[in-house]
Amino acid sequence: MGEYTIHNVRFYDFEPKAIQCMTYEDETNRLALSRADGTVEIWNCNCQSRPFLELVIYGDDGCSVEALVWCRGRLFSAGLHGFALEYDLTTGGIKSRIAVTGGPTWCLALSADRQKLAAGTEGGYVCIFNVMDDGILYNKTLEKQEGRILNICWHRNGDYIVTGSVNCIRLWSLKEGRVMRCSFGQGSSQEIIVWCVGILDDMTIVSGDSRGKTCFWNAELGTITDAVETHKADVLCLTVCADQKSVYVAGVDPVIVQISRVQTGAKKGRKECWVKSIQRSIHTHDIRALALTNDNKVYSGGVDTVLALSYYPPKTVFRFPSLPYPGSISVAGEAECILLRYKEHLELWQLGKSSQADGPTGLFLPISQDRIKLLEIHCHEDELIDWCAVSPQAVWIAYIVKGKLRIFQFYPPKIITMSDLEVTLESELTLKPGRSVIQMNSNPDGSVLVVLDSQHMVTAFNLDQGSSTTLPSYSSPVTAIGVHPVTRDIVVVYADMMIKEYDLAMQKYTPFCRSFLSTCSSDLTKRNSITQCEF
Amino acid sequence: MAATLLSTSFLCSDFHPKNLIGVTRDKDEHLLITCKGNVKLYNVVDRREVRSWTTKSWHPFTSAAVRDPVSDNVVAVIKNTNISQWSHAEDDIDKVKRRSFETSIHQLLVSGDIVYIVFTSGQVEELTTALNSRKAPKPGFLTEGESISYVEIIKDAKRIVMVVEKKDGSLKLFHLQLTDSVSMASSSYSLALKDARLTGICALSSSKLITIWSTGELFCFDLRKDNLEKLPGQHLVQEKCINTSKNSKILELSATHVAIFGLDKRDEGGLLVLRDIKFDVVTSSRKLKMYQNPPQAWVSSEGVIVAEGGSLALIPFIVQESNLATVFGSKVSETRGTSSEACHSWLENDSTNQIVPKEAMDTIFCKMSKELSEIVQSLSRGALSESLFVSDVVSHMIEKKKLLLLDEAMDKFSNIPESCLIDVLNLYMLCKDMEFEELCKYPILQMEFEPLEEDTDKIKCPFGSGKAHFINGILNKPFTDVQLLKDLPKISFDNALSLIQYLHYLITTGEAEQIPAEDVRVPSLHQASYWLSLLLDVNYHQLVMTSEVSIHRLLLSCFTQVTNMRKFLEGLVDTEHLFERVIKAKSLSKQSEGYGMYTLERLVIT
Repeated sequence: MGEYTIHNVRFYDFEPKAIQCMTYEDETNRLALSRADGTVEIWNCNCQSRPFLELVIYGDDGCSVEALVWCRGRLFSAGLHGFALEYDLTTGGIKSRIAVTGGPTWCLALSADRQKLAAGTEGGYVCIFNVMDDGILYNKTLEKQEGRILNICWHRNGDYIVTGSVNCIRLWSLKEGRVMRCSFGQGSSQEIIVWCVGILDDMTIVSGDSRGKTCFWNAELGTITDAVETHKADVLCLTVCADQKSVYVAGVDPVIVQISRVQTGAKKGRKECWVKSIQRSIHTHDIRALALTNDNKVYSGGVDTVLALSYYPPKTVFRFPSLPYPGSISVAGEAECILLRYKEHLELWQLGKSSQADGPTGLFLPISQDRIKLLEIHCHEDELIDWCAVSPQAVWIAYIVKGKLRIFQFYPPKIITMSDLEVTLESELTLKPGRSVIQMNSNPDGSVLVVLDSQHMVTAFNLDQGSSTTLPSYSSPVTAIGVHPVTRDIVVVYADMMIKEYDLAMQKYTPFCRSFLSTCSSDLTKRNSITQCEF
Repeated sequence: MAATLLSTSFLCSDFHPKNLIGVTRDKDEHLLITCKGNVKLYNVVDRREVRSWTTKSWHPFTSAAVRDPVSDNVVAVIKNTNISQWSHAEDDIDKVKRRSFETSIHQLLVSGDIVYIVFTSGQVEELTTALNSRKAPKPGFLTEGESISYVEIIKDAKRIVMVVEKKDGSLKLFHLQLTDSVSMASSSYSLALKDARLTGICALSSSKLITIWSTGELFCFDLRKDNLEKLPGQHLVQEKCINTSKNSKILELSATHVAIFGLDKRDEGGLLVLRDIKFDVVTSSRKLKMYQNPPQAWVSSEGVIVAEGGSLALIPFIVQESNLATVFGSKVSETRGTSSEACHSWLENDSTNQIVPKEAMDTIFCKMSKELSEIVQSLSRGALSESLFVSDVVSHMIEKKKLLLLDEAMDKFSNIPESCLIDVLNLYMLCKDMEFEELCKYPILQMEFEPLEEDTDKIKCPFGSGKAHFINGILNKPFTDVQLLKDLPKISFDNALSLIQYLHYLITTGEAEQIPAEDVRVPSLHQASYWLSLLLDVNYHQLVMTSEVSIHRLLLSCFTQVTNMRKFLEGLVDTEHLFERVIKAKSLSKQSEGYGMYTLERLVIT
């Protein structure tokens, strides 16, 4: 069918970042996670066991995301910048921001009725916000307490908030305006940092601390009822199962431990206690974040940068390593060039050549002409590059900085920004109302543009004729789209690894698609997803 | 490794020993512990009581509760005639319906997924069958005055083994076909041994019946092959550790291993003995503080559970397939304090002129000098492995300072423990050069070498030729580094320095060869450098902290030599690649394939 040369590009110095926090919403089946560089990733988990990266919201150096919360499909975050943010998931930008009393914010929690948002701060304040349709609105600040508030959570009835701080856990009664302090006592001079807290419906508080212990407290009495030594070092995160009979904890020891509530019989009657149950060793370094779905699937991540999905039974683990985001690498096919995106600069490389033109598959070819770095474009000091692309002949390089598009003409060298008068808008294409562009691709001559929107519908625009066609919908979300350079057929790849080829002229699936693509190739049914189509 | 019993651990207490009825397996790692007043569900792994069900004192449990694998219910016998079944979630079993029978129930047994009821009349019925016909009489086949003393189901053979005691104390054995209702028995067989009383019995799943008698004799009877008239069967062994005049409990651990729990013969309290019935040896034993008559012990997947006063002890065990390799050297525990059996020897100068079997030609007992043979024979050997035996021989000869014999022993024995190597080496190091002279023939070494590098000292051998010859005999023996590291600190720092100097001499002068000839005693280069690295490891701190110039010079010289050798070997790596390509007639390629920062690969899709 064809002979190709694979260019193994190992000189792209991609550095994956640690996962900082994560949150999962069962209604939309979406996972949001933040990384150490402030980037927020939205993963679509609709397709069983094959989550894929749907959206990236880029951060910058001053941006830290310490907490994330979903609320009816809306995503809120808070960080050390001292603001609570709401993201615009259609544009990937920030929709609204509001200052939090107490400055740097370590944690966020949403009330069960999803009406209120609580933020815990460095200054010891707990700020309550009302979640409105157009953003969040300041409601009140609870009485200031000593020490930073590292973690926070709401009781299901909305009347109580639990916070974790250094050496103590606090239970805040919103109705009575009272604070109860659950103290670890004076037994040890060592500081005990409560990294994570949770509260069950029966007013049992769960805490994970720097001693490696997971403690269960009677919230009414403020006393420890059970203490389970789950880790050797700090317990950094915990999550409570929907049935409230199990808790997952993880931390510096890279194991996820399940703690289960069991009933024991005694002479005095039945008694319940918490015991260490199954443990999972998935990660190699600190686990910083856990998220649990309603069907008890655990997402975990941390310093090793790998997102893991695990559940039992059956014993299953999926690992999703951090890969360069879309828009990090662009290939100029005709010019045999590759454009690589770094945080603050772009590199355009002329790929190498080999004099040998034959041989079996897998043969390493001798390099007769080595790679050459043609260009390095640096942006201003305080700017970060979000996206880049290069035209097939490598004449035009486009990149996005702070949401603004910049275009560079390689020969003669010239930078054009969208605000310059030299650029004029040639035509405007519209999607159905309420939809935003997630992905797009076109054929080399630019006559066909195919667009994936936020509703996972694929629309093909014939720019020559000015017409548009919406492709048939499919049960699984789309992960990649492409246009064949010669036939103009549109190729769509779905999250369940199904590939469809659509004949734009005939407005139906191609005979090849009907004959050969009706079932998924066995090689593709493994735990992976296709993120890009190239011809 | 032989089958072994591991350390005893406490399982639970909180019951009076008289009230304990039995322990049976529940799901996973759980046990059902039945006392007269309650049944406890116990988690063995975390030593926690999970549930407990209590009955009224006037309705006591009379047989150990079992788990019905099909319904997952607990089944128990209350007040001899009532069957009660309840789920694990049940709180109050007094509210659970009880089914009463006309005939008393002796015991409940579980085989596969089926629960069987054994009535005191001898009748055995499946639980469901019995419940459907509970009003019907269960006449069984036992006559008045007969009582069941042992009953077991052999699952694979679908047979029941039942031992019944008559009023006069005589025993008879029933071997019955297992059906859903066993109410008839065609014949019974006498189970007796002259002048002896049966003190322990166990029917194994391999259809073997193990019996232990008050005389200490252990018998094995194959229920499939042997004629039942010949009970108690084949005499296995005389039990030496357990006082068999008292009752013992025999438990099946595997097809070839049983555990016998009884009264310790030498001491107060109980003793649990793990016995390999294939080779008739005791491979392990565990002492227990208390013994009660009759002894109470059970097997679970976690280990042997023994009632020890008011508590239960758990003794985990490891059993493996029984073969000669696993039992060899494991008989020690049984022969403690008793003389070992005589061992045959095939000696070069044996006047009795025994015919030496071909297989024995290469054993440790052949080709020895007379003096060494006598020492070997004079030592108590038993069924010891060579390594254990050599330890005795070597320590004896070190004590007597028999240098030549030690050298011979190092030569003759192949499995020498690392501790012995160090002990002998220490002895050699303490002896002066003079003491080794004229003991045997040895090659004369060149004591001084001129180094190849300029401005360096002469390389001297720290030992005389004789001493070096003896030390070489130790250095060329195989060893395990982990074991050797434990014993190496026994060598003093001064002696270790002398050894380092000697090894340096061997390596630098080329005495230690890459592949030494067969008749050469000098250790190979690999062996010498291995010893050198271990000596440096063990004496690291002293070597670092020393201020002696001579030691620094020695280490520097070692370093220079090792670096030169390493560079030489690294140079060979390129040459190896070159040779490979020449042999395969391939063109010489300058680039290393596949691992560069940027490579081109060919892909052909057909």
